[in-house]
Amino acid sequence: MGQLPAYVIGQPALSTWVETMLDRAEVVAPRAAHGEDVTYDVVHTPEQVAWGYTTSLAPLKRFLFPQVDPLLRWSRQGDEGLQLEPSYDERERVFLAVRPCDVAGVLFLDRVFTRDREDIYYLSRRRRSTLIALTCTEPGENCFCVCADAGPFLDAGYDLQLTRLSDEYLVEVGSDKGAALIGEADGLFAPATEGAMRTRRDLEKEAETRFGEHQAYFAAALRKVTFDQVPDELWDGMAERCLECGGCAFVCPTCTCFLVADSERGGEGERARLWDSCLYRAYALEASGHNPRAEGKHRVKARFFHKLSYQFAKPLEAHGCVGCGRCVTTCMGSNDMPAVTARIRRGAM
Amino acid sequence: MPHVLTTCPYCGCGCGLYLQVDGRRVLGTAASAGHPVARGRLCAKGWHAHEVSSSSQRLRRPLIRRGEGLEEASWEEALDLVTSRFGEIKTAGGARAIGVLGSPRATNEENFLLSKLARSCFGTNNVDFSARLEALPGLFDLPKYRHLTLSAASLDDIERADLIVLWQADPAEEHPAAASRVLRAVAGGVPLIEVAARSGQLGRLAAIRLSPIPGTELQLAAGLLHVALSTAEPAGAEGDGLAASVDSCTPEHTETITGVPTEDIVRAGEMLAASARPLAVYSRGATLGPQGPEVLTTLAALCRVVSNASDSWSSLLWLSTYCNFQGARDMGVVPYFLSGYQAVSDQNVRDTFAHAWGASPPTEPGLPSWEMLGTVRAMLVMGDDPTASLPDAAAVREALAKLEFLVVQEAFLTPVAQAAHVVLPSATFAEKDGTFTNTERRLQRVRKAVEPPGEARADWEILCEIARRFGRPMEYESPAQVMAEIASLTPIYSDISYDRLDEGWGLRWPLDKAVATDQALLGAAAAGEEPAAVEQSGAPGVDDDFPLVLTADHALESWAADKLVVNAIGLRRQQGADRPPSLPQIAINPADAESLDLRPGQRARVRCRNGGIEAAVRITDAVRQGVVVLPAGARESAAVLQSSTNPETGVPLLRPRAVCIEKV
Repeated sequence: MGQLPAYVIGQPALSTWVETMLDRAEVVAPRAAHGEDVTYDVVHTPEQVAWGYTTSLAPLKRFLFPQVDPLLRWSRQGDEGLQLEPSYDERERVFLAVRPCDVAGVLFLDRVFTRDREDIYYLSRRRRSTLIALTCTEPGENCFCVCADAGPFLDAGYDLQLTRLSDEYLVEVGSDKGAALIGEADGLFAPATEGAMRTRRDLEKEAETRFGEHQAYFAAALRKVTFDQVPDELWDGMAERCLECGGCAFVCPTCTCFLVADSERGGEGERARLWDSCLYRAYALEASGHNPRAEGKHRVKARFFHKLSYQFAKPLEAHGCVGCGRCVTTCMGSNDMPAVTARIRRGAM
Repeated sequence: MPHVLTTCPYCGCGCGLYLQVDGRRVLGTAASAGHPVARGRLCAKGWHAHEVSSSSQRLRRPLIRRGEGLEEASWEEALDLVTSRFGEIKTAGGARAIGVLGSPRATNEENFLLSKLARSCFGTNNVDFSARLEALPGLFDLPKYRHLTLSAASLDDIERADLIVLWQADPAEEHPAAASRVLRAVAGGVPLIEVAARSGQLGRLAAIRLSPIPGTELQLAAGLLHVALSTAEPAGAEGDGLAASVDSCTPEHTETITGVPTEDIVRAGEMLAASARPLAVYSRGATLGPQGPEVLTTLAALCRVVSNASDSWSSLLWLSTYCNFQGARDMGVVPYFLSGYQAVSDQNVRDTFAHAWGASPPTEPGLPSWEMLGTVRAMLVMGDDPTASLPDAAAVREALAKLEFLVVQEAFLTPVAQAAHVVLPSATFAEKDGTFTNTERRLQRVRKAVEPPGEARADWEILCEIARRFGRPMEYESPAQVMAEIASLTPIYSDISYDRLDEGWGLRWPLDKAVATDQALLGAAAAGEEPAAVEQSGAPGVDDDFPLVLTADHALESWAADKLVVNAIGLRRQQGADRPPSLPQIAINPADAESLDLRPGQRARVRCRNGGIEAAVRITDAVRQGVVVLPAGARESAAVLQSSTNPETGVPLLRPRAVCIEKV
């Protein structure tokens, strides 16, 4: 908020604005799938954007860090040896009307993929992406972003942030990239009034009171996990309920584990990275055959250590959760973040 | 980046999922929040459903055996050879010399067309799929048994039950969507009783774990019924008849036979008696046991007696193994049924199909899969894997090698395909339209997301090509048209159409209310029917030379060798299939291991009276003392288990056997 400019835009200008985006980039927005399902997907017309959605099935990371991410291809050319060809995704993308928690997730990924070195596959996509958040005035039933400081409205990190005000949208600018997007179509926008800004602040306060039963009491969990004060039996109890589906890792906006696999056929091959889950039995399996995390309780402990311990939160500038609530939906047992933090706080299943 | 809603190709739960397409590849899988089975969740296999489509191991061109090896050929060549060889063998040996195997993983439309091809083109009823032996074949005709492998209950009933009994089933391994519901029910306070030779993951949350000596499950069921009858007050004559039949099955007597402690039998029986909505969850672990049908009949009687909920509550939840196991049966991939369980022996049925197909199905029932192998001279195998589903894999491989002509439609070069004379490359679920029917009888769409690789084709298209060359064309513009024909000939599938399937999340058959109440069709437990004689247990006798009881566990490592796992690049690592152990693992109780001086991972010899195998020791308290457990799918399992044939049904089984274990 602060000194950065803000605008308002109503219909039909909004659709016109989306048309301008469609002309110059791939636009990814919430889009209706089957039944009530909504997912982030490429849209081709402004009408396909599902503005009134609650949450999408999957986070944005699919578009920046795909489930199958081809890294390079090779072919064997007789005496010429191996021809290598890297695969970079250089598509321009606008992520429109995405949730603040998902933006926070992308910001987390930015830090993961630049921390040790710059991940060129991720950055190739990320640098060509524009993030337009849509704030949540009506949190979903599994949401708890307010506990994770990742919503329902963001202070910064977005390129643009939209808030729905009765029949028009407030547009807050968060970066030069966002400002440029406005500049391309400035005839469609009007400056935001003080009244509009006030409404926006009121809506944020109101939204913060509307969260449901899934609260994540992070403070106790962060402390106890950091200082290894969680009893072993508790991790064991959670492992009993884990069916090792990997879903939590796959739907989490801040999970990034992957394995790398080569596949070849008739002299041509591809190296790709594939999403992996630290809860799979073979996750830490070593080439020798030794498995340092052969027991479920060690894997569950390692996962939440990585998510919650200050040892990771410090370099990544946040703990590994944005409160999107997808793990609550997708866990086959009941080892979602709110449930786990509650157990750690209580010290019991 | 289209998201294509389709149905998972792995287990019988039938979770919906979205395949994410980028360009021409399937590059990801997403869960569906609204899907009534999945409810936003998927197991590890489901989360990797996108992998088989782009596997580098896909077959792309037809293969023909020349000399020792298989060589690429054109579709023309391959299909010409199929037509001429089948024609020759049929002329020389009659239609009985030909057999076809459908698949519990092919679509309903494909299974239906395979049955049509076999019956109207080849003129044979030798039509089966090998996993069908898991569903009490032969007994299925009888209403009193039919309902045991035709679920009236649904997966959601797991969360409505007030008591759950896992009977020789391990949903955490085989049916995770069911296991997820059990976890939720238990978290909500519902008690769980586990009956198993090897306690599964869910057993750790059970209120009571009952571990009968393998082969004594029937006696345990009878003992529980005895306790329940003496505690509950069942109404009327049925109660009297049942009480009389289990009169001698006191808890103490039951302990003597089964090894289950008296107090546990009493407690479990009382819990059952106190329940109003008990749910027995079982799968092939129960149906493939030595007295499987009798066990389940007794279990059904037990639930019927204790349940005082209305008629709308069904206590039996049968979990079928594969994504379209239910559908393959529904479509008549059965030697004595056409689609909808309509008997080939019924003249009216034959006339109806003759009118639609232009040729009458033969009158005589055909051979089941385990008899086809070793009898017929030529076979067409559409994706089936008898080496995985029939008990003696070595015998199956031998029989396949002896066939004069074997045609296999497959997406991968599986062991069955490797034995073929002609291999026709087929599409996976991601590359074709169709339907699967899950274990709750829910029909759901399978939707094409991408083209098949190379020259591979959908199985239904291959079958139509073969039929055309046989002079009996089967012409359909799409699988939707095939479903229209199915619906017109199959009362249980009447009113099913793709338009209706697209509206919601699939449809549970039958839609027709009259069919729904037809007990002759859907089966029902016969009130007053007494459970079978319970004196004779199926347990092997042990002695000093062979003091341990070995049993096969169908849930253990059940997916590790599956063709849709080993050929899925990420999934195979997760399932431990990329580094398969060189020896099968034998699970043994710590006390037994100590007395035999065995350490974890140690190489040991498992010996029975007629032979033995080598195995690696796995020490676990999930098995009781005196019992050792081998995965049923282990290559050598048939060498140490007791091969037998059910006298009533002719189904081949592997029975528990007395063994000894020695260090090597």
